[in-house]
Amino acid sequence: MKKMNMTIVSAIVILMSCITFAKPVIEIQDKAQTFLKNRNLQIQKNRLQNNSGIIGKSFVVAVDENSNKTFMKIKEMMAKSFDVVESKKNLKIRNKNIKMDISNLNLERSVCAKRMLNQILPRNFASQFRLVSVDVEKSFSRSLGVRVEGYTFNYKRLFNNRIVRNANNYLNISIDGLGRLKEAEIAVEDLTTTSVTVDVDENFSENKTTIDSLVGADFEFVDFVDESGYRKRESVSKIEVNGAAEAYCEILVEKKKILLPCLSYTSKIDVSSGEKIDYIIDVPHSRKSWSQYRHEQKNAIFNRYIH
Amino acid sequence: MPPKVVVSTFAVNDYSNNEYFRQMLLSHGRDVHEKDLQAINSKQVFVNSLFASLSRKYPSLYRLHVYDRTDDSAKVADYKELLLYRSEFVYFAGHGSQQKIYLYDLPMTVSAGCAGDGCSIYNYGKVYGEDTRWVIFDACEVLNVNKDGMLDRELNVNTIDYSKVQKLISVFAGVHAILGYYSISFDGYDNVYSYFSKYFIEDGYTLWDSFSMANDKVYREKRAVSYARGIKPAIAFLRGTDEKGVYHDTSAEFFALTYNQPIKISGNIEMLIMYKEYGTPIY
Repeated sequence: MKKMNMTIVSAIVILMSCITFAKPVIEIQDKAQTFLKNRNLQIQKNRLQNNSGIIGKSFVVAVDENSNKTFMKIKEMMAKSFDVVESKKNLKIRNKNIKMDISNLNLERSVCAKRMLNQILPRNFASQFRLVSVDVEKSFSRSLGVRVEGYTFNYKRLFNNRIVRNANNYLNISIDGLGRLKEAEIAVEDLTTTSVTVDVDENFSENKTTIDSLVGADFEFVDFVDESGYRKRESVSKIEVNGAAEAYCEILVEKKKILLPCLSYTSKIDVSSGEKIDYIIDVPHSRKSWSQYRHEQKNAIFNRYIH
Repeated sequence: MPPKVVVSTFAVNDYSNNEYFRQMLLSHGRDVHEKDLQAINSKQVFVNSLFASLSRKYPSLYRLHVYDRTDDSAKVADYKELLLYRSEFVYFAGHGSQQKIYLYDLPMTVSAGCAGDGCSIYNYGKVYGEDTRWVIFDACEVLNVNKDGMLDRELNVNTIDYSKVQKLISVFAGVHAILGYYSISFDGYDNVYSYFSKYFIEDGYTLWDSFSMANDKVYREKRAVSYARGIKPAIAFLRGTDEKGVYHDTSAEFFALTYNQPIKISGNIEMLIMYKEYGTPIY
């Protein structure tokens, strides 16, 4: 009788969780799969070479908010060839004579973006940034039709070759429709690799399970705007992961900012009404590194939507 | 710079008395009480920021907040009848849709509309000019000119609705430019206007760069609100050479160097609509 009651209770619990939240299907596309598989192989190889135990580790990075050495260094270098305006957290850079070659922008966006980066920053700093997105300004007039009036190339800083996914390490280059530099804005923080580590997944099925854990915890609903311009909140039915990158995600631990190694995924989310939304999903390096910060009651806040 | 800065504002939080708006929401399965707007707060931040920037940069410039209409003092009759043309800035915060703003009691078209006995109350419009240089519609989609059902699509010859473009053109009676959104707006994220005032009045950026950068800034700050990723700040402005041979691009106007006269659609001047679309991240 007791056993039967237990079974009924379990069935009710399972049923309740089905009713409250039907978990979205996660599909990892070829490009992201290839990235993860190559990455996992490299981690295994490094671990074997270094004889560093059964579980892979990656290092946590500290943000030194009391120092601005990197910022000042960039400022000094940029001031040689640009008009530089310094504000609290960023530098604005102008030079009316700089024109970017955007002739192959539509065909080779990343090549064009890299060339632009090298035109603005000294090579050693240019290699510390990676293009993430391009904003476009479009105009319409009766006589000229639709025209592109300008672009903003949005780069994120790389540290230890990982994208720093917080709001204070970026470069945005704005140009007009002809490629003339309007302004570049740059922000960098002083970052230091610590000796603290988190565990790293090194097989594809674990990577997928970790995404699944995060989706289970945080992706019941998404807010978006439909084609009629109405704000909607709908449940997520499918997540299609298209791209992946090694990254650092900012979290707060005892009011101090730290950068936790994470994987950042670009994705398309299907909501229950059938619409698709672009999303960035940041996922910790492993379920264990997740639980370390989520379940040991530390104040962990993941910025999941930073572009 | 303008010889004075007079500001008129209208802001509506409460739509419980706007039956037209309520019916429109109900047709989309929603009701007016679903979410309170922060329009009055946004308006106050706009005015405070603008005047603070003016007093820092141009302390001797005459400034006045002449009309401050909120909720039941922000009816269509008020908007139509007040002498808004004596204000350099006209600002509205509240609900909007394509070429429409929703006042406390009724919608009002953002077009010349009509007047007189035969005019439907739903087609009251207003033109902007004389002293009015800049109009700000802090409301959703007022500057969107796409065909119905295609509001979120990119602007191209297949998506544009020329009759909606014509409506916007019809309000340009001297006004230099209209700022607003091609998408939903940042309801309640007042920082847009504190950044805008700083950039436009104090830092010497152009009108469009100031508005676009202010939106960028909030977009980056508020990205945790997922709907914000669909935001498209926009401007309707004038470009071309007038009959006196003076070239204008009112999106690129500086506050300190603004053309001190109304600019009308004459010579080869035409109205353009421009928006900024935030790019999709790719790895």
